[in-house]
Amino acid sequence: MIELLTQHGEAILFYAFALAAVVSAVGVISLRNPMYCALSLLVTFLAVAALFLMRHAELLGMVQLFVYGGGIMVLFLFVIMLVNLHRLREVRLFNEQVPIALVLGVLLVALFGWVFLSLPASAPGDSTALVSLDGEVVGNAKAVAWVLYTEYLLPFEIASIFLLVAMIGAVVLGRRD
Amino acid sequence: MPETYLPVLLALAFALILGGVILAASGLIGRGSGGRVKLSPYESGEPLLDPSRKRISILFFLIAIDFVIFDVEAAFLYPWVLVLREGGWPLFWSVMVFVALILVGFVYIWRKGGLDLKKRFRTRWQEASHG
Amino acid sequence: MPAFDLREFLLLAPEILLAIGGLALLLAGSVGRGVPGRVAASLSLFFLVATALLVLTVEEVGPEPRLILGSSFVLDGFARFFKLVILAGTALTVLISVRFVDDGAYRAGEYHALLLLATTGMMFMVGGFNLVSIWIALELMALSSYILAGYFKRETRSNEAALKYFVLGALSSAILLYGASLLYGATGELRLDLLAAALPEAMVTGRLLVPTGWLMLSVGLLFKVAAVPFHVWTPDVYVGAPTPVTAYLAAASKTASFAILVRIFVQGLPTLLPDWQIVIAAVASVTMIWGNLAALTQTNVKRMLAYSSIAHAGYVLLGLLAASVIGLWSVAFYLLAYTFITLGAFAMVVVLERREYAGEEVSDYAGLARRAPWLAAAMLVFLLALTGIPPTGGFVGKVYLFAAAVEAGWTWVAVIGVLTSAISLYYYFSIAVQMYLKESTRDTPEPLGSPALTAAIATCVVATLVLGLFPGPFIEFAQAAGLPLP
Repeated sequence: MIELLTQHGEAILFYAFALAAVVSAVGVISLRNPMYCALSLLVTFLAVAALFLMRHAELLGMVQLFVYGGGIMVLFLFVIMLVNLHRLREVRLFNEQVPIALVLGVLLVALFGWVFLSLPASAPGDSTALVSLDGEVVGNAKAVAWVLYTEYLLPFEIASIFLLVAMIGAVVLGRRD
Repeated sequence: MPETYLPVLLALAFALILGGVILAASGLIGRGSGGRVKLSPYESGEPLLDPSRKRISILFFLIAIDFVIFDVEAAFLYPWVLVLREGGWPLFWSVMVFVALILVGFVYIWRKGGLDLKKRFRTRWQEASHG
Repeated sequence: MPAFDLREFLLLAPEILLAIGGLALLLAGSVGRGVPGRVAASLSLFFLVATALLVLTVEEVGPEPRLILGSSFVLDGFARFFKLVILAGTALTVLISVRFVDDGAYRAGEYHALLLLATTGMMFMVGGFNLVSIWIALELMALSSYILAGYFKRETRSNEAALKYFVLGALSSAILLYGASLLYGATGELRLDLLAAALPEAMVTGRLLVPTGWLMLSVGLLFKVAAVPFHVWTPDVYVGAPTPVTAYLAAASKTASFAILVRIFVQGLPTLLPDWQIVIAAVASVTMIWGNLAALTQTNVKRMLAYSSIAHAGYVLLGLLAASVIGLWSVAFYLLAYTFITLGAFAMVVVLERREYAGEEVSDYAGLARRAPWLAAAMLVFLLALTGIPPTGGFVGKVYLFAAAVEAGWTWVAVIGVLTSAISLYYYFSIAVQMYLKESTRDTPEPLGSPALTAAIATCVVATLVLGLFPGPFIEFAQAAGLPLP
């Protein structure tokens, strides 16, 4: 039993987290109570972060937890708080579009499934994450950090202007006057 | 390398088990909830006199948006500490430019009253207590 | 030890100056009661002109393009040409906005700051050489545009425009990015030239990743240029946004989006040329047909111009379809002409608009020839240019676009172009009929008498006519915007 676990441990974990991610994602759109949807979304974020960690993309996993689990969840909760939920519960939105949406969704899954399944398979533990600089293994966070601040310095600075514009937008569009 | 995260996995498993055990125990041992009447909101024993939900100021949402923006900025800055030694002064000043640009945004929000919760709500509180 | 010399940042002086301008306007607008409209506009113009001068002097482009900053950015004739066109478009937008933003009692400081920052994004876009750089700059431009589209907060139409633009724009950006990530997964490269080199092998090892990747990438890019069937956002957004912003979107934003579309396709995906030629041919044909047909029934001038703008995207795609030297510079030349023509046409709409949205119907142009003969003549020039009738820049541009398509063997697409241009005559001239043959009533709005507006319209008319009568030097200028072809 222990041999089974250690040999296939990574595969088991991958499928467990992947299942959790998919189930909670479906839960976000199908659960009745908005608070349950929000918590389901949080579970999705956590599962995806775990998947990132498993693929040696630690920096991305941590950023996922901070930004998504921390910031975006707060936004969702505020929206749930601001929107009047009692009235919404009686309104069923998008009634006619559900069948088409289901068909298109299935088609999309089939298409992407075909694309990804046509590739040679890799083991769940394999990873192409960046972990080394100039041949020296330094770990993913440091490697990505170095590349971010040197080779991609310009996009990094543009990102700061982008965040600035987001702040402007929040004030311009949200102000009372 | 993911073996180093094994403690995290154990913590996760422990949390799930603990939560599950508590829920199961309360479901099995505890008494059921009181039904719709007991769960509906009330005021001192009477049903709600004023059922309409008060509108919440959008300023809360703006604060949340600003929080997300600064959270993303922090996410960009976290890896900085790992490479600062190898990067030296050029790296330091590059990131300072990043911080300065965000700082301009912060000054803008500040001057535009995006942070003035106290003034807004002191007025409301006074209105509510006098009106 | 960074991967490059930090002094290379000096070569980005134009963009840095423009960004500083945006920040300056932002901070000026947040002090006290804000900046008055005329001061903000003058400041904007100052920064735009200074940036254009820097583009002309700092970037000493030789015959070889120059990669800087770890190859995320490139300085070549292509980038330089489009930067100047975009700066001109923005300057004209600033002129158009002067009375408009003030009249509506909306803050001018942030408006101009957002315009300048959006333009900064566009400049980084056209100079980007790396899918990540292009994308983040695209997002900068897009986010600023979403906010500008929703600037008239008290108008429902503006809110609707911003919401639709944002939702569909974010979706298309996500598709674009996902396509780029699939290409990266297949090739391991994000730099356009290395990507092109790695593609042939990746098409074998990556199986279906490459076709899916570049198709999704194209979807995202075609959305930005508003080609059919990714055009659905355009009519509502163009109608709902404040008209100067609409003009900006139609001219500068479309130019920048075309620039990156051309660059990514020609420099990043040359191996896939036969494939994307088929896709572009199909999209261009449908776009020209649909855009012109839909415009036929419009009575709202802004909506009509939106569909016309969609149709024009189809014409420009013909140049990309040709994928030849003449194809590329005809795209550049047409976008140059199109910037002036579109800004002029929307300026005319601004001239007649009142209370933010009145004055948009075709019937509001009735009798303009009698009330304001020079304005009517200007509008006539723009209408001729949009249809593609000599002696305007629109005619010259279309001739070369169609010629490029025919020369490359895509004659049937060019034929569609000619036929749809003929159809467009009908709706463009419905406005001319109103101006010259109908009488104005008491309800028809009076033209706005603003010196800045007049200057903008005059500039556009002169530019359109000069491009049509003396295209030679401008064709040479456009030929400098060449890219190495597959």
